[in-house]
Amino acid sequence: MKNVLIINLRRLGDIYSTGHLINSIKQNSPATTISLLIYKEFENITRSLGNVDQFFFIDRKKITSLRKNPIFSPALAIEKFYCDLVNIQKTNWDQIINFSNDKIGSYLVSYLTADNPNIECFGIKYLTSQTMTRSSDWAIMLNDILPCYTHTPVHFIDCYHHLYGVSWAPLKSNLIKTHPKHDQSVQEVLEKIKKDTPLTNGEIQVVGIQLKSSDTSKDIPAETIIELISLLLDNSKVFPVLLIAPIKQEQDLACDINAYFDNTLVVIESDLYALGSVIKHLNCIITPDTFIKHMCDLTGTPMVEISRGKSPFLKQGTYNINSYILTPALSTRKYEQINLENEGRIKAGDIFQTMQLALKHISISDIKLSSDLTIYGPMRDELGIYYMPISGSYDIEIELSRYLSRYYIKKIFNQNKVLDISFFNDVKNFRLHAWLDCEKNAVTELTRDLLSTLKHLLLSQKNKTKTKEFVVSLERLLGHIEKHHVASIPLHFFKAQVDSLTSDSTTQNVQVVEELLYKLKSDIQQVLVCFKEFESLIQDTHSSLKPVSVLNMPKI
Amino acid sequence: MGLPITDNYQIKTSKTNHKIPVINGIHLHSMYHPIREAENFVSNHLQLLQDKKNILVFGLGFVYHINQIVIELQKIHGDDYKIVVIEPNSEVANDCLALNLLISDKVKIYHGLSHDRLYQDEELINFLLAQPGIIAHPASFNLYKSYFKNFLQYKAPLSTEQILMVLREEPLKKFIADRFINEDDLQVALWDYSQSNHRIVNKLDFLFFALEEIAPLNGDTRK
Repeated sequence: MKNVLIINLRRLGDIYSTGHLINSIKQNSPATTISLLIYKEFENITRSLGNVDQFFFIDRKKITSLRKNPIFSPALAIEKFYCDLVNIQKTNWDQIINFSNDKIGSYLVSYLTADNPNIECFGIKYLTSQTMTRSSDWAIMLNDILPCYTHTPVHFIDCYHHLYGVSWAPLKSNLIKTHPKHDQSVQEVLEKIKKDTPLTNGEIQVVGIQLKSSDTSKDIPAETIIELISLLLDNSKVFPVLLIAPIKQEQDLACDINAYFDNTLVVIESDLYALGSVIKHLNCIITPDTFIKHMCDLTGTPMVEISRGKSPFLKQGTYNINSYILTPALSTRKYEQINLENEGRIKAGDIFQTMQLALKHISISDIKLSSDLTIYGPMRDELGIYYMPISGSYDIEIELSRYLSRYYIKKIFNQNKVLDISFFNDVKNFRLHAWLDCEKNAVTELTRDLLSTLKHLLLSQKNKTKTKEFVVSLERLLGHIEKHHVASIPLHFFKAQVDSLTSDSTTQNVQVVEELLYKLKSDIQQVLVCFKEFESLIQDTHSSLKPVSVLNMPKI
Repeated sequence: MGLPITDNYQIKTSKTNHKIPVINGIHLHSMYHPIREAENFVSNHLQLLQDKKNILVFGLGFVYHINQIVIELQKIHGDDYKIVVIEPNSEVANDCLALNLLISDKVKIYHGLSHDRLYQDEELINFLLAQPGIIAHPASFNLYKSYFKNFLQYKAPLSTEQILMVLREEPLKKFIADRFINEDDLQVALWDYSQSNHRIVNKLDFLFFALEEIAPLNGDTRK
């Protein structure tokens, strides 16, 4: 039996998304005991997130108040933090997973493992030299690559699975805990709705609309929600309900929207615990980027995720292959809190069609989205979840970049041999070649700077006065990271490994850098191999930005 | 900050036959009708009692005002309320308790304690962290103005020596004593320490680095 601690000092949605990894671990080795360390402000989740054997808490709010308010002795904050971790320290852990992947989580892993080197760590931690060390290349992927890439080719949840070395397992039913009383009252409400609005063929389907997220840039505007509700009310197959938390701001918004419909709407107000029952029993949920989407993923409820503003769906969008993501075209996304003006505008009709798709009322070919919008569908391959544009407009260059980056990653991690570009069959054209030329140029420039760095390294080994030239050329080489080409991925790995050099001996470090430079050279060769494979498969075609409904969908 | 000195203390009886403490010649409650006085006083704080279920009261007196706060809080919040009273004069507090005048067990009284002692009490700290409403009993507050003002403006000592007096956990005490013994401001010293690139020899280093990340002060003194 293994005793595993997962450190997740992030927000509610991230804590729920840990549920996938926990499910996979438990299903692959049922005797494993899993504990979760979270901030106390998210303590409510303990009643909702299933499969966790024990929760531990850090009372961040109290520690911060004790530390920052001059009336309290600094001793109190120090002691509170220490005491919050005492029971964790006393436990015999076999493994610790740093799901936070930030400085705090990394320091805590180092603190908790300092006396016991036998504890296996996953993710990043600090060594006694204060150097950060990564448990594997997947930790580099998680810590160094995914945060830098706007159009990331790998999902966070998959990264954690690969990092821990567990294969993804289909979800079991107990991942979101509910109370039978809550289940019963939700069922009663839904039965009443279905009874009051009978259908000749089958039952009416109830669709929940989440009104607010934690960030206004992610929210669906109120006027869009009102239009959407009108469309839903006009459709005989579906019935809308509004989902809100017991928070005044949400209650007021629901009240305003309901007033628009003469107070005829059904509003379901629930706390975190009761929300699980609501989500489980609805047919579909429409939500901006909220923790609710992560709950839906754990219950398997189909969902339409509206991704706009700051919401980075490619990293942590829905993980349910029956859900869909509706987003402004990636080329227009800025992932900013402000300045949404240039983003494609999501209209009520676009959301409505995506919902119909999720409920299987229509097929992909029936969809006609507003301009500059895309529907992405999650699909599962050997690496995990990948988002394919399935309707609307998309940018070939961005999609190619994501796709080929993923292929390269599959190639180095999974020894994937076959490149399937059937998805791009209809879009082979001069721009596609232009993209490839651009990528190849990037490889050429990178290789040039790599060879120059190697040359200067060798010179500096013979003549110490040449060290400065070596450092300059190394900096120039690392500058390519900012450019976000496929070839930047091996460079990220190189940089992370150079940053983690632990030896006090310069000679030894230089020797390691030399080895890493040769490894980088070989990895860049692999990028070129990917491009060659791709080049041999593409042919000329005519358009770059076009509707994707005519494209061939890869088989799941 | 020392405790205020009482030159003269006596207990009188009001016209309504209620006991009234008189300190240095000052009557802490009305000699005519202390209950009515308390009702009038608390009626001026109803909005605060509506908004806050935790109330910090400066001045115990003989609790007529506190009992009235209890009555109002019970009306609004049922049993879900708490009152903490701070009273510098232990003699008054002991007499009050002996007279058994208090009508609720949800009132915690701190009496005769220095500010340093008060701000080390875990229960009081937790109560203050919950941001209670504050009500000052005018007669008591005016009598002990500097005591209460200094309580509100208190700044905890920051030197290592004084912080070590508050710390209870031995490993923490040893770690700090070994590294920061003569520091005037331990917070600043800890921040400087977290920025230095030294080799870690004690696992508590990691704990303190994590603390700097969770609740960063960035080397600033506390405001």
